[in-house]
Amino acid sequence: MPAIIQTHQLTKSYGKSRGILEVTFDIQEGEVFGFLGPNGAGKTTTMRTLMGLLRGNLGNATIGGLDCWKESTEVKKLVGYLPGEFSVDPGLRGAQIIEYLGHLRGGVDQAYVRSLVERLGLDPSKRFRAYSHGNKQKLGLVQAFMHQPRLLILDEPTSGLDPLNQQEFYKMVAEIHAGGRTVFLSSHILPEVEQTCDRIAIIREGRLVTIDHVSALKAIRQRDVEIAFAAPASVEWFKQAADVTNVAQGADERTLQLVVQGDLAEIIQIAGQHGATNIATHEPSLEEAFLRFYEPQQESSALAG
Amino acid sequence: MFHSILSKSLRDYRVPMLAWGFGLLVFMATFVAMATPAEVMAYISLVKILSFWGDPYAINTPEGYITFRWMETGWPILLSIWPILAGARLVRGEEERGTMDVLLATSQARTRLLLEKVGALFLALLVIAVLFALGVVAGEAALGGGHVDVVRALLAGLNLVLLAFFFGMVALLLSQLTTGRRAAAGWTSGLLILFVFLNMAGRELNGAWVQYLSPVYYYNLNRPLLAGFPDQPLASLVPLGLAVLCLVGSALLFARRDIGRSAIESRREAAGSRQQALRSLSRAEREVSTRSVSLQTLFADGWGSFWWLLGIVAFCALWQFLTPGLQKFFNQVVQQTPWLARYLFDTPTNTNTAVLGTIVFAFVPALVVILALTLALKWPSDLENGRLELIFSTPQSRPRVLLERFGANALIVLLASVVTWLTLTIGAQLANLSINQGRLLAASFSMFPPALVAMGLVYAVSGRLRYGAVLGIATTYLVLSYLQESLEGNIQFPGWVMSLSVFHLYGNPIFFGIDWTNFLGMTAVGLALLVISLLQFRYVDIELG
Repeated sequence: MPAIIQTHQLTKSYGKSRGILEVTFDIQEGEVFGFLGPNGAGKTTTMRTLMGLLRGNLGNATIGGLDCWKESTEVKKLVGYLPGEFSVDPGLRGAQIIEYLGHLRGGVDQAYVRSLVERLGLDPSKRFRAYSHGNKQKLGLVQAFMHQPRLLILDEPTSGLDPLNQQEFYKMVAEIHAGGRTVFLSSHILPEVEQTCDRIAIIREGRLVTIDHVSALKAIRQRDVEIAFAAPASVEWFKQAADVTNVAQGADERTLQLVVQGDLAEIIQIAGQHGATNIATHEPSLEEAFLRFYEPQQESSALAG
Repeated sequence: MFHSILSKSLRDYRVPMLAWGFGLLVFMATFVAMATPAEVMAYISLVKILSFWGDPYAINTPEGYITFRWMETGWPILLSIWPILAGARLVRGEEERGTMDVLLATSQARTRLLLEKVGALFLALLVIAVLFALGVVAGEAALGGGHVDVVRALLAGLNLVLLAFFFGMVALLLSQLTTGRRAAAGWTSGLLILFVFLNMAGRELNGAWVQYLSPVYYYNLNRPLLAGFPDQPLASLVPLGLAVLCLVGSALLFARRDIGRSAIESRREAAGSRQQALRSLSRAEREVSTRSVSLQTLFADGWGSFWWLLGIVAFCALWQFLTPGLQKFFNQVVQQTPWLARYLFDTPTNTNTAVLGTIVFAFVPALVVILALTLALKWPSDLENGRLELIFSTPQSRPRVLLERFGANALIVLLASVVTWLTLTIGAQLANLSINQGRLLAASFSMFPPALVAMGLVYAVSGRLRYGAVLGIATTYLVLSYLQESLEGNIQFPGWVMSLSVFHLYGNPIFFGIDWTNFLGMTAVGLALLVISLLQFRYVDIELG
């Protein structure tokens, strides 16, 4: 499949302490791609740079083969965008905002707009100032989806939505996916990412930490293993084992605590050779796996954001 | 400063409070110091034609001169502007920004919150009153003393800010009934103009009952700067009492209404059904305002611009009505008053048309330029508040959005020229005044290039600079520009300095026709600024808001 989004060494600096640094990734046509990271990691900056709202300092980004800055008007014909925060004239009604943005985009099917409004339970007769956060988010989703774009860029799309509307949103994403269109979304909700995305990228302090299939990320999760022996045990026995990332003495001299990433076969074999009496493993949740990526680096990079 | 809502609000008011206060101080110090016997005597000859402006009590004294010239009508209008804006945004502004929810999430009662904010506004006005008094005292010292003492100066300042406070409270009350602060500020400004007009009408019609409807009338029953004036201290209770009534009404409404909605809207919207809600989509499909950025801008600016245009029509019509009775006297006064003759050195005053042209086209160009400034300033404001994020996510190029906004602003400014021309043409027919149509057309449409320069300046520096900086730069330039032109007959500026003033370059087309060099030159500068704005806007980051 061709890549619809491509970034290469994309860097956006706001000065000393915010931005993104050398972000490189591809998103294939038809993919649902999740973008994860703690607050201020650079998710919104990346998305706004792709939308041509910010100008990258270095590197490049393309959507559909078009440069996101130089050809941003053409790029936006392909994209439906939900900003993380947005504001419009507070005196305008929801219907007026939808109609206005529809005219600016062109190619909007009014019947589809009505179906989106119905599905999300949005009241378009209210003024923008009267909308709750959740209703503003619904309005944002309607305007992002209404022209049935080839690519959706959604910055924390379920923020503020109630569980029913979250489920409706997942169905809408599934329909987009089934139709061969692409979704690039940022989120903090891991079950949501697990449920909706094919691949995810994790960004921290402006740098891309990892990018892989959701299933692969599950596979690389680390496990805590506690091994009990009949006699006093030595940490040296496991230091050369391929999948052991950490080994330490346990509660007493006959117990060892290991952190293992990968297969346990070699661990079991070594433990058997030294007369192990019990092996207990603790499977961390995907949540814990992600939290390890989220933890700030000891030596933070120059850019964060 | 963050210990209470009152202190925090006072902190928020520190810039306008000090700017207005020190502005008044400098202004009053200057004008009191300049109130020499010669200046006063020169001005006395004008009093008859300016009878609508004030009551010339003890006009031959410096304090009478200052009271007539500034205290009766001028400062009540000018000093009410900030309290009106502050009153309209007192709680509505917080609601629009979404910060009211956070404030009300604390254990503060709504009534207390409102009272503390109003208290801060009142304290800020008192500071302004004190600075005003200091200005008067400083000017008095420079003039030679013996005219106004500190207590009288303080009382004059207090009288002034009580009236301004009243208008602030009217704005606060209306902000409970409207859905936005702009609407509240607009309606209150309209009331201010109406009350001033009623007071003027009362003066002109010798005590007509209409003036009793105006709080400005009760304000003028006390003139503390004048030692012998029969003050009626109880009259001050009228604006103060009305302000308290407005405050009580605001507190009652604020305590009962939904946050984010008006007291009226809450009930109306609750009655809406699901079907009605969906019908709004069909209605929006038919609305012209949603078709493009320019149409949306025109409609969004519609009400505000309507009031501006109505003000221009009223101003032109008023002077058209007054001119026939004033012409001979005005001409005589100008001939006999050296400083006025210098001020109007390039302006004939010997016909009705001349008088009308002199007065109308001394002020309307400034009104049109201010209209252009207020319209253009919405661009940096929207950029800073993140209101263009969704617009720029559509396939509209940045230059196109900017050009559509600029074009819509320019169209309204052009409409102001058309309205001026039409009002004076129709009025002249009705009043049987002979007006040179070519010159009138020239004077009306020559207002467009200066307005274009003002708009171009705002757009050119937006994007790179914050809204406050843009406002400061544009306002400073226009104020200096106007002062420069106003003082031209009395102060000799170098030619190149004068050529920087758009009001000077506007010239005197009602008498001398269009100066094509200046007309085209300013148009070229306006367009050049537009090009600069387009070029620089291509590379700026869009603010997140």
